[in-house]
Order: sequence, then structure tokens, then C-alpha cells
Amino acid sequence: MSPSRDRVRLAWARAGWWGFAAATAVMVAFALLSRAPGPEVGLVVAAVAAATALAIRIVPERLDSALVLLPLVPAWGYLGLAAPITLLTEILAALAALSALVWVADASSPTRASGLRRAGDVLALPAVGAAIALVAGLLIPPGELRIGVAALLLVAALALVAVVLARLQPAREAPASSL
Amino acid sequence: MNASRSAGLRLTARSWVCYAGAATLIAAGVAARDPVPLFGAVPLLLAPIAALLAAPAGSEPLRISWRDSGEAGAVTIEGTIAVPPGLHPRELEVSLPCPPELRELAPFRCTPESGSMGFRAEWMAPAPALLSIELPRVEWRDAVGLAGRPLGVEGSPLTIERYPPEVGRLGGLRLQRTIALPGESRSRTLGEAGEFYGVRAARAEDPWRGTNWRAWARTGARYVNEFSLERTGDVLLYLDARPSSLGRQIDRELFGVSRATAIGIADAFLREKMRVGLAVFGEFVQTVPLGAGRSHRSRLRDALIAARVADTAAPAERGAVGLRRTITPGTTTILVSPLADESASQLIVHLRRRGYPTIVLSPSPIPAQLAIAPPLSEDRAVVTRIVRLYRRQQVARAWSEAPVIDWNEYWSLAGFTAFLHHGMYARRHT
Repeated sequence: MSPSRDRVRLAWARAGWWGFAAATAVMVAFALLSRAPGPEVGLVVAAVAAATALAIRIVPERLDSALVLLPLVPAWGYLGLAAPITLLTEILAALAALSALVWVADASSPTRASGLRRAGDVLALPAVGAAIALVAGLLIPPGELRIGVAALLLVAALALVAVVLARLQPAREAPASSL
Repeated sequence: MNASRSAGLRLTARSWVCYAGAATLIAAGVAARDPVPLFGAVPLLLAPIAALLAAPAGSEPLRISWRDSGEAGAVTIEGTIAVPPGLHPRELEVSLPCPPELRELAPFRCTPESGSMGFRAEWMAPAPALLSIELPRVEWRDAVGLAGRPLGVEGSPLTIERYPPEVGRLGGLRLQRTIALPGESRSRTLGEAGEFYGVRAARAEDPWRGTNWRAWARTGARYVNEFSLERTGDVLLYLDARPSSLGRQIDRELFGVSRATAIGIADAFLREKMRVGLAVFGEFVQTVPLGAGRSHRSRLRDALIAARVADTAAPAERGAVGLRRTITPGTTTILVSPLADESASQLIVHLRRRGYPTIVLSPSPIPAQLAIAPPLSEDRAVVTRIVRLYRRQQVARAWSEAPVIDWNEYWSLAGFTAFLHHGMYARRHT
């Protein structure tokens, strides 16, 4: 196989079409719920963000696939603010983030096979966390500041645990006994 | 190996991208007093933590088996990394960077298989090369790539040797006989190869393969066979590793070519049971004394891989004076030098004065010079001609002291082998 054809094939594999489809579908659904100035603008924002993210995935060979979040996050922000505050839009916001993580996992590269099939281990906790947040938002009456502060502290504690886990050094092992 | 679960575990850049995205969404939600973006931030905040929790416990070092293949300049590296239980091949990220001396023909490729990870790199050596490839880096990664942990790899570095194929024809050469004193010839040596010479009482270190079983049966004591080998001469490969006026980059390129060719020439002579020595003259002379055999080849190869162009140029005389401590004068010396400066020609003079009959193999710097600073198309012919004329003058100056082979085409040593077999050097000493 010629090197140029090989590169095209790899670029095609890098795109992660399943992840792209999931992220785009969620954003389109999100855009259709947009209020003023209307769903058309939301659709345009969603299309531009999805196309830019796809270009980031395909065109540069050595760019990290997580950089798809760069165009997607502002688009979610806009769509989230333009949509009415309902349970459906909150679910879509969580699904949008999860679909982006699926897209990041769907990163077939020459040095690593796609992790899409085993992404469930990593995506389960964020999905459960989003579900708990949705249920809490649904059941807890509005105006409870203490619950909000508690949730914020919980998230901060989780982030701290992540940082501590990441910075832990290997424990010095005891020398093997000769007996 | 009881490595702790968190040994070497780290969040990758992707995690920080996720956190940055989450922070943006939280800021937007708080600023607009709208909870919808906050729900988008929750999965991005939790995903890196989930990735850290998904990390497997520490594992034993991964065993690697790899080899290189390919003809001429093609370098294809294929290998397999055995994956121990508890790890899945799809969780491994393998990287093997292409050395600067080689060019990447195709992207590095990995193929997860059951219980192992196969990999393949396709590179190309634009010129003869001798280099050691370090073990690939292997890292465990979660499915989304948010957390990683470097894994130990067990194996030996791979040595890439690519040199001109004509070197193989050097073996049949009858070298000048090494004579220690006038009238005394020590060319015949006893060893494990050659014609049968006799038997002697075995020593503890003698291998069983050389045992003379009949003598043992008759005498009751173990005897071993001895063989005598007619050695026509010894070879010293002398590499000029001093910096020259060509500049650091060209010096490095030419020295890389010289190293690769030196191991090729050494290989050819060692196959014929000749003794080969090595001298690398940078700031000082570093030598590997004359020797033969497979272990000596490894010694020469390691010395050549470790050799580098020196930072400081030493006076030419030092290169010949220091040599006499380890190499017997009279040894046929193949000096590999680009002859870029006057000092290189002086080195030939000093080597000859101290009794080393010298042949110069001179890799031409012209291809590297034209590649680094290509002249304009309209001036190209004129510039090339001037550079060639200057080079011819340098070679002619060196020819007054010793025969010089101007080596323009790095992948062919036909001129060198033809010179040694049929040229002036052969006529002079036969």
C-alpha cells in the first residue's frame, strides 16, 4: 500500500465516525430546542462546531483527539443558554458531554486501537454522576443553598482525590529476602 | 513485583482539557444563572476520576522480542510485546520514535493480538548507518485516554547495521604481513580454527567440543586438539572523529557513515579470522586492541556505537603517538576521514612516520554540503563544479602521502574493494 493511501486510511480511522455521529445528533437535538433567536441559529452553531471538531480530528496527524472539546464546549454553552430550562435540556446537556467523551474514546491511531468498546468502564461513573445530578435537580426544591454548597464541596473533593492519585509516587519496595 | 496501584499513575493532557471545558461550562452557567450548562460539566469533571479508578494494579515488566530486517537502506522493525494477565493489549500505547539518522517511510503501527501486542516500524537509512535503537516506550492508557501509567519493558536494545554490500568482498584480501622484528614472522597462530597442528593437555576452560577422544582413551587424561591458522596480517580501522571546518551537522553525518562502514569492514575481515583493531581519534585516541572472534566483533560494534564527533580538535600528531601504546606498528591501517582540513592530511603523515601503512577511505562531504545548502538552480552547475574541484585538490594533496579512495556514493564501496584487490596497494606489496 502506498504511503499516501495509508495516510488517508489512517486519517479516516482517526475521525471516529460513531463518536462524531453521537455528538452531532445530541447537538442537533439541543439546537432544535433553542428559543430566541430561533433553532436556525442553533443548528448553524451546532454544524460549525461539529465540522470544526471533525477537522481537528482528521487534518493534523499528531493533534490530540480531546481537542474536539475546544469547539464543542462553547457550542454547548450557547445552546444550553439558548434552550429553556427543562428536564429534557438538562438531560441533553449531560448527553452532549458524554457523547463528546465517547468521541474522544473513539480514537483509532497507528499506535493504539480504538478504545470505544471498552470505554464503558470510564464512562459509567460520569453517566451515574450526571444521573444523580438530574435526579437531585428534579427532587430537591429550589432555593436550597446548603445543598448547592455541599454539591460544590463534593465535586471539589473528587477533583482533589484525582489530583492526589495522579501525583502519588511508587512506594519503595522492601528488598527481596535471600532466605 | 508488588507495585502499588498508583505507581506512576498520572492524568494526561486530555484530563486537563476536560477540566478546562467543565470550568467554562460552570462559569457560563453561574454567570447566566442557568443550570443547563452545569449538567454538561458534570461528566467532564467525573471522567478523569473514573479513568484513574479504572487503572489496573501494577504488573511485571513486559517482555519484548524484536528484530530488524530489510535490504540496503530499508529498515523494517517488527516485534511483539508479551502482555501479562491483568492487562489487555488494547490498553497499551506503544511508541518508538524514529532516530534522526533514519527517515520514517510509514507511520508506526501496532496490532493488538490475544496476549500480545505486535508492532511494526518502516524506516529508511539514506546513508550507511550503525545505531542502537532503545526499547519502545509502553504506557497503559484508559479507553478515553484520560489517565496513563508507564510500564517497564524487558529486553535488549536493537542494533541497526546498514553498510555497503561490497564490503563482503574484502574478506579474501591478502594483507601485508605483520612482522614484529626483522627476520621473525609470527603470522602462524594456534587456536580453534585452521589446519590440525597437534594435541595438548586440556585446561579447565577448554570447551568439550575440542576434546581429542582417542588421545583421552589411550592416555587416560583429557587432551584437546590445536589448530594452526596462517594469518596474513592485521587491520586497524582508524576513524577521524575530530571536528572540521565542514560544520557540526556535516561532521556528524559523515562520521555516522564512517562508523557504519567501519563495522562492515571489520565484519568482513573478522569472518576470515583476521585480527582487527579500532582507533577513534577525537580529542584523544580511543582504541580497541587487535582481536578476532565474535565477542571481539561485539566489542568493536559497541565502541563504534558509543563513538561521537569530538567537541575539540586535537593536533594530528597526538593521533599517531597515542596509537603505539596498543597497536603494533606495521599493522595495515584504514583511515576513514573526510579529509576536510589540512590537519587530516597531517594525520596521514604522522601515521606513516610511526610505521602504520595507511590507506585512506574518504567519504566525500559534497552530497551533504549540497543537501544542506542547495545552490540556486542557475548557479548549481557552477557551484557543484567549484566544490568538486576543491575536493579533488584536497584528495590530490593527501595522495602524496597515502593512497586515497574518494568515496562519493555512500551505498557503494566498489572503488575501495577494487583498489584493495587490484589497485596500487595490492601491486606495491605483492
